[in-house]
Amino acid sequence: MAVKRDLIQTKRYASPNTFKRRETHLSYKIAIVEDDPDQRHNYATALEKQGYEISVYAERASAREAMSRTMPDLVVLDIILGNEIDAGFQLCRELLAIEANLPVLFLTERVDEIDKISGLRLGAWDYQPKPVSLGFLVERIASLLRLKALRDDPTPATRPAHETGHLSIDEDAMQIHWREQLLELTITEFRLIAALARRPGYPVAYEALMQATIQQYVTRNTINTHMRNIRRKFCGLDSAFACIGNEYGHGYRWVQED
Amino acid sequence: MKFGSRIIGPRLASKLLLAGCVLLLIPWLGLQSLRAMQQFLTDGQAEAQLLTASGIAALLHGRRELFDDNPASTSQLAELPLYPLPGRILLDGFAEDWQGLEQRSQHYGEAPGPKFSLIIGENKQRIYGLLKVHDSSPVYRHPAYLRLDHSDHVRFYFKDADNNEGRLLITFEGSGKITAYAVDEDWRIATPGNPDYRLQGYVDIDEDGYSIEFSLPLSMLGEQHQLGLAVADVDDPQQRTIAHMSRTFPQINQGAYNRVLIRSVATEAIIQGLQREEAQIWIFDSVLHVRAIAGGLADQTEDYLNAEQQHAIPLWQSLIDAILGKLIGASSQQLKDFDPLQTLSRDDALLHTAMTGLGSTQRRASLDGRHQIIAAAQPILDGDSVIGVVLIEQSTATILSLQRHSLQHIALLSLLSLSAIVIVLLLFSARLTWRITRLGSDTDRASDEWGRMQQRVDIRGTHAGDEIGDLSRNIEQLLARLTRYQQFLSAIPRTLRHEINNPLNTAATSLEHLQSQGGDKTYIDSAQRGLQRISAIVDSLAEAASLGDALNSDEILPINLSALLTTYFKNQSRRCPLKIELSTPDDDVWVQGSDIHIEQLLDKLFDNAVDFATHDTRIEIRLSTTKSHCFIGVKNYGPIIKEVEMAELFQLFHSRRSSEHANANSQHLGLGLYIARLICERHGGDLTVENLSQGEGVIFSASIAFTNPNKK
Repeated sequence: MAVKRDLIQTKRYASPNTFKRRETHLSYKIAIVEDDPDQRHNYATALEKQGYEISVYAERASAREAMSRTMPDLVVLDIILGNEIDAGFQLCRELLAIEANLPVLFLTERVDEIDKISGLRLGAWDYQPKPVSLGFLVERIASLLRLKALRDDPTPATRPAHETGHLSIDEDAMQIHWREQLLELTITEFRLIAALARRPGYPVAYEALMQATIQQYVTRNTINTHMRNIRRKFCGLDSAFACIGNEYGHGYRWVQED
Repeated sequence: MKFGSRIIGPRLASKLLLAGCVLLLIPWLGLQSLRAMQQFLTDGQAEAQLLTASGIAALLHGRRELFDDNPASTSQLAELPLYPLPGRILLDGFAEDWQGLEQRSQHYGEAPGPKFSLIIGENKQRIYGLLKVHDSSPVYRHPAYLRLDHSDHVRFYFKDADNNEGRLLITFEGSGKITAYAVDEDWRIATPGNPDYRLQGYVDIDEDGYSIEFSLPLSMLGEQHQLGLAVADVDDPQQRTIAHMSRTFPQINQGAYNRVLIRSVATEAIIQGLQREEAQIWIFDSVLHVRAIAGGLADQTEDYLNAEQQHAIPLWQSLIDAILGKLIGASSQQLKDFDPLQTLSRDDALLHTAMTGLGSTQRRASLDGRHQIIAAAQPILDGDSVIGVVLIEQSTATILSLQRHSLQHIALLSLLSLSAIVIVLLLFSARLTWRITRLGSDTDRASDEWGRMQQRVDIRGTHAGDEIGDLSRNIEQLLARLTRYQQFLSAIPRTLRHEINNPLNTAATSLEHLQSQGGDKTYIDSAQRGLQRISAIVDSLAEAASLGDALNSDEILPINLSALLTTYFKNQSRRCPLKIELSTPDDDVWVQGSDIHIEQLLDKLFDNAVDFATHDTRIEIRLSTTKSHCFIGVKNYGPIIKEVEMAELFQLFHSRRSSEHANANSQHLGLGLYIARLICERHGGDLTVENLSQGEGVIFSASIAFTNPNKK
């Protein structure tokens, strides 16, 4: 129960041992493109502690140049680089043109919905607004790498998918199927659905949902926005979907189908 | 925009109309110039008349013979006026065909002598006369008697063409034709005995006496035009002697009789050629007796037309005529002045002036007092002496009728132009007012009551080239600038969030490193809290600024508001120390809206109510509906809100929480009620607050429209 363990381990403010070096992550190459030296340094330090091999870049041209020679296993991208306000998007497009399966994680101060949608449309695997907790970042990168490994080398799932009605949650692949159809979800969305569906019919408080996102600073509005997006995605597969219910004044709950 | 305190003055259209009244000066000026023109024309006419009079006088200068047939009267005898007759007189003893002229008969005779009246007139070179004798017992001629003086009779004395004395006697035997005889000097025996048929007549006898109509050729009288009449009265039919006699001349007459005043045929022939339709020419001799006349005063044509059209003229036309007549002094009544046929002499001051040798003009009123007459008189000279006067009279009717026509024109044109101008002014002012009002309402619509600019500002009428067009363009530019500025302002929180997120991230990640390196937990935790607050503040600001967008992008769904409220407050009551009372209508209330925003609205209102509620009181929530809106009332018991604060309560960054209310874990930036208000407005409603009547608390009332304005 990796997800459950994550939730238990991850607190609002990541504990110091959250991003301790883990030997299992060895040999992954991670590129960080961030123009702010302090943040770049903080990321690099935290990820190096995990045993990743880190390369850092401050601007687009040099990053593309270096990465087109040696493609990393994962890229953390800021969108605004120096004076180029869309440098991250452009770089993402260029890198994915070279390596279509490259996991790209946007980590940016541009928190508007429209930017998020643009980033995910480009083919990024995840989009995280700043400020981010390093514990969350480490966790997130680990998830993405695990996903990548699964997709590169699909082996039978070690654990069976968790089933709730028509909902099937594959914790290892971080994939959710609704009526046998795969939902395209971000990791945060996956976590929220997983948190909701753990006890179907019971209300889940806003506070619990905020915890589940393992993001740094989360408001009710953020949760509401996520929930709206999740509903849209479900409705895209099944227009009759009505399993996510509001528990006004408290939070949300997963409504069991009849 | 509120219009309550606006000063209501006269509107633009009324002001323009008022200013347009100045146009009334135009007809007044027209009238004034018409009056001046009238004066000018009258003067000109007088001048022209004087000239004409001079011309006529010049024709007659030195023609003493034209005036000489009436030699300056040496005798003191009364004259016999000879009136020009309009037509022939039928000799029948009745006065009808004299057409009123018989009123001018002269009366002769004194008691005990017979009284009689006489009028003579002239037509086609014949003298006609009407003699009325008062005699209650006429004595007729006896056929057996040869003598003619043995009955009532009339004697005619005259001087014939050879200047010999002529005597004619009329006697009668009853009503019927009369016979005239030339008689001897004693008026007894007819000589030569035959009747003189030059004198014809008819006698009509009634109880008062007898009337004789007679006629004789003018040529019977000599150049001296002397004619005398005597009436002899015989009272006793037996004796048949003459009892009394009355004469037109004194008994002792020295062979002279009354002079017959005859107008000069020759003079009339001369001026006949000069006569004009509308002018009356008079020629007087030196004693101001009428010698000749020509022309006439009345405007015959117009009178004729007037008479013809009298019944055809509609009432309004006569009304207009009357008004115009009053304005210019013209009268449509027929002119009555000196009748040239019945006037023998005139005594005007003008004529006396002319007799002194000076020509002059005069304006006077006609005898009926309704018309103006211009008279011009010039003396007729023979050497140094004045032998006569030419008088030309003309009524101003022609001028006045001209003036009336002009006035009618002016009035009509003024009326037309005035109404046209008034209509144009009205239309113009209506258009102006409409444009200004439209501009005003457009400007008004550009921002809501909280001063926020609308997204689409549409100012109409910016293509007009005039000042209002300029104003529209200026306002449009101004509004565009304001909109840009507002966009800039509203972009600030988001930009700020973008900008602040980087240093925040730096600080947060650095803190985590500090934490992992075992830094002082107390300080790290407080630093973390500080960062969290900064983050929350920036998020709230950005949320408030972009709430409109968020609300617009939200799905608008039917929401069961009753169920939402029930769920919401059931959940809240679990964590809230205060008692919550919710009352909803029996039927479910459904609205169109965004549930999470309504939840947010409830959060804000409920938080606010809880924060200000006094300990151990209850919060009352009441859902009610009207036709178009539903209302969520949230009532708490606690301190009331000051009047001055009410208006600012829903503004950005206004917080009524004092520092003692603020606690470390929650941020109160004064955003809550502002956002709540925005949510209500986006749902077609409003958020209001009032203090409870007893001052025991406050009620916030949020309204939501049943039909959502944002619904596509």
